[in-house]
Amino acid sequence: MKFRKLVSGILAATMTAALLVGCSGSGETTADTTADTAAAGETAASAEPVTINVAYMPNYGSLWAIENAIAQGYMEEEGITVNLTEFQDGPTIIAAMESGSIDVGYIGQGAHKLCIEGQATIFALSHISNGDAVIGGEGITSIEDLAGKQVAYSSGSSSEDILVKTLDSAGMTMDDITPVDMDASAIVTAMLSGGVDACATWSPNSLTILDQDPNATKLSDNLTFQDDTISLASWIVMPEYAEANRDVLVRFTRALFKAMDYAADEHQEETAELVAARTATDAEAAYNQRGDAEWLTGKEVSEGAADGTVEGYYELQKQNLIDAGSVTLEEGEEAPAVSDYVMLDLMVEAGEY
Amino acid sequence: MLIILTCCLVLASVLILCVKRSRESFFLCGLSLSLLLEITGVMIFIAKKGGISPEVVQFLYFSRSIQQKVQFFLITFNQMGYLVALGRILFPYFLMRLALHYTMIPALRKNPRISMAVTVFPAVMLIVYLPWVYRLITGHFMRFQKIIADVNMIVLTIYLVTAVALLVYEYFSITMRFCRRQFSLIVICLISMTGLYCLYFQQDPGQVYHFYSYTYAWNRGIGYLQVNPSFGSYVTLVVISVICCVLGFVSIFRYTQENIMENREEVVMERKFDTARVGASMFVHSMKNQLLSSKVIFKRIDQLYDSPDMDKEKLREYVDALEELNGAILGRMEELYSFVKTNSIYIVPVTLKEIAQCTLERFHEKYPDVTVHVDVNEDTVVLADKIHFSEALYNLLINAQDAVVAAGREANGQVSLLSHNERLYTVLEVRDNGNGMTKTQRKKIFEPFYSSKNSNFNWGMGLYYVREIVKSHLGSIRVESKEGEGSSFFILLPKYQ
Repeated sequence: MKFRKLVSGILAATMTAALLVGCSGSGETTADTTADTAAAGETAASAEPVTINVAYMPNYGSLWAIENAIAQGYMEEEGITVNLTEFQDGPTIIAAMESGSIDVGYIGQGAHKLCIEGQATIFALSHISNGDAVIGGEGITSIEDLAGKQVAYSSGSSSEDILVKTLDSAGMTMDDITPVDMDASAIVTAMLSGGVDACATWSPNSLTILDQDPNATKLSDNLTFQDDTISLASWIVMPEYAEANRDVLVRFTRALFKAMDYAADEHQEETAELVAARTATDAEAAYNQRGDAEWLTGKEVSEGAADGTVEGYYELQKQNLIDAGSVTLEEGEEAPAVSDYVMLDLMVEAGEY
Repeated sequence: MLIILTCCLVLASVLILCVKRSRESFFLCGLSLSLLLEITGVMIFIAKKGGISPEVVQFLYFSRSIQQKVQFFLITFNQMGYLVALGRILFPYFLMRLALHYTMIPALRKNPRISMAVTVFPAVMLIVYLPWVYRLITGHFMRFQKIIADVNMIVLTIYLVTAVALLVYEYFSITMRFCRRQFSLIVICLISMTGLYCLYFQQDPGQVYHFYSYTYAWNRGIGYLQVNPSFGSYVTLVVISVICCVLGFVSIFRYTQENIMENREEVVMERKFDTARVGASMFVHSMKNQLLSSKVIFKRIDQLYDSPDMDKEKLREYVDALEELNGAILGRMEELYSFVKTNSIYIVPVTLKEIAQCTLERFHEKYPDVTVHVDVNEDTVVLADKIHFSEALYNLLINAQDAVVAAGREANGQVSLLSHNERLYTVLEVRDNGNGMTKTQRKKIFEPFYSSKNSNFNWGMGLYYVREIVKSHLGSIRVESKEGEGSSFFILLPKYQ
């Protein structure tokens, strides 16, 4: 009986402690949000104050613009308070946006197919990515060496795209290897523990593997296929949100563009520190990710949207995804025009500052 | 935290399985294991997916660093998805089997066809969700993802609702307090575990297989991915988890404890009976003393005959003493014999009316003036050896009357013989408003050679004898008592149908 009471007591105490820990965490978050709002309120914001729930992924490419937009006060100037939430992939961000808990989100190359299929609308181009890579482990130094080997990849993502392209470049298909389907985090563990022979993944996981495994060799990356392919990263919203909150989106994008102007060519160390603080990682590791992309300024994106360059990027991307079979079209169905799912005019408008 | 607590549930259920190797224990163990599989799979999935608020991270993983460790755990989509599939599909199955095991509804109880029918769907779904089978089916026909997810969801929901309804119905069908109390433990445990299961129930394994894709299955199961949970939803998550875990664990713990105690009681009784040798030697010693006393009296009688003027009064005194000694020896012999001769009993269908009559006849031989309140269903038939079983009931009635006398309540004493039909049992209850028993006494009363009464007339085999008789009828005996208020002895006999 005494033992029973003791166990019940310990259990209840554990639960209560967890509850309190959870509640204290909640309190801290609320405090942070309040502080941001107060700061925003202190400035003479010309627009109506608004809070936007933003989804990001824990890497430099996802955070370089948004962190600077907050840190340099561009969001504040627009009267926007940002609540950031971490996700690991684009589809989950879209699902969260559908459920209404996220307003805008960042996606990498893989999730763009969902925008082509009408699940979300792109309102800003973030950068041209070079983060995807196929990496061989010990003894695998060429694409041909992949034959018959266990290769970790993430189906339905840009990892699958680059793996297929890489194999194709050597006249091989997925049937020539033993694909092992897993998430990007598990790929890092699998590679570093020798659980697989090679992998296809994206930054910063690709950088972690190359950094920590002395026998790892990069077999290909986005630049390998830059002549006929492109890998983009974008900011998205639900079509309904875009329609109802165009003004908010313009203000948000303007703040992003200013931040991109600030960090595209300089202030990268400062940006890396902001990213490291947000993702609770090493600043040096974040700084190393600056080579993952072609960082565009806000002005470049806006002007590119006006002269058709940005539309060209998305057109090429769409064709790549259709050719790879990532976007499935019914027989006789035509692919949607880029302007149907990319708000080019908003990018132009947001660039007027 | 949920995983740790679910592990505790699994350990408790494995313990029950070790103690009590029955189908019920097996299903309970399966249920806990499937819950563990489901929660483990979903926790790994959530850690890898992200998109949860810091509060939820702390609640589910204690800290972000633990969540990150789980995030980097090496597992393929196929393994993770099937882990979720196993837990998600098997939990409702085991819950349903347990509900069918407990139900007393004749059409459902121990109906092999129904058992078979409830097995078919989970078996089919476990095959459908095999990674290669699932990918084969849905690879070419995307719409099958929706069909499989919908059908699975609907049928599993039906399993859960039906099982819980059966358990609740069963609980409210029980009228006897002690039966209801014991059953309430298992019902609370099962409903709590179902509550935990339901928190993550929407997670379709197809969504795990298509980790980076956006398919129909995606829209399912993200209910718990509350990015910025409202105070209400966060509190709901925490409160339901905490309540379910605590109730589930405490009730399964108590249930395990009861099973262990019951098991231990048997062992203890066997051990106690080993001490019957000690009792036998005491008996022999007592007999020897009385025979020695007789010898002394015989010697004195001899001396009387040798004396020239025989004192007849003295002789009468010696003869009376001998007679008394002889009576005492015979009484003890008869008591011992009645216990020894119960090695074989003859069980036949007999009505409670016959048993009650036989019992009361014997009782009134000893207490002709005492009225026993009798409320038995006279037509109920049980399988029993009328003579032995009545003898056992007679012992309980005698004890009840003795308890009333000991409490000084002869004037308003109430000794009752009652019957109940409860679940699988026909229950006979002997109730009194005597002096009751302490907790220590309650633990010892069924031990051989234990008696709280005057040892000149009792040598503590009465209740042990009752217990042995009840056991030989494949029944069990329980006691409820409050010191100073009275006692109730329940004899549970398997229902005769």
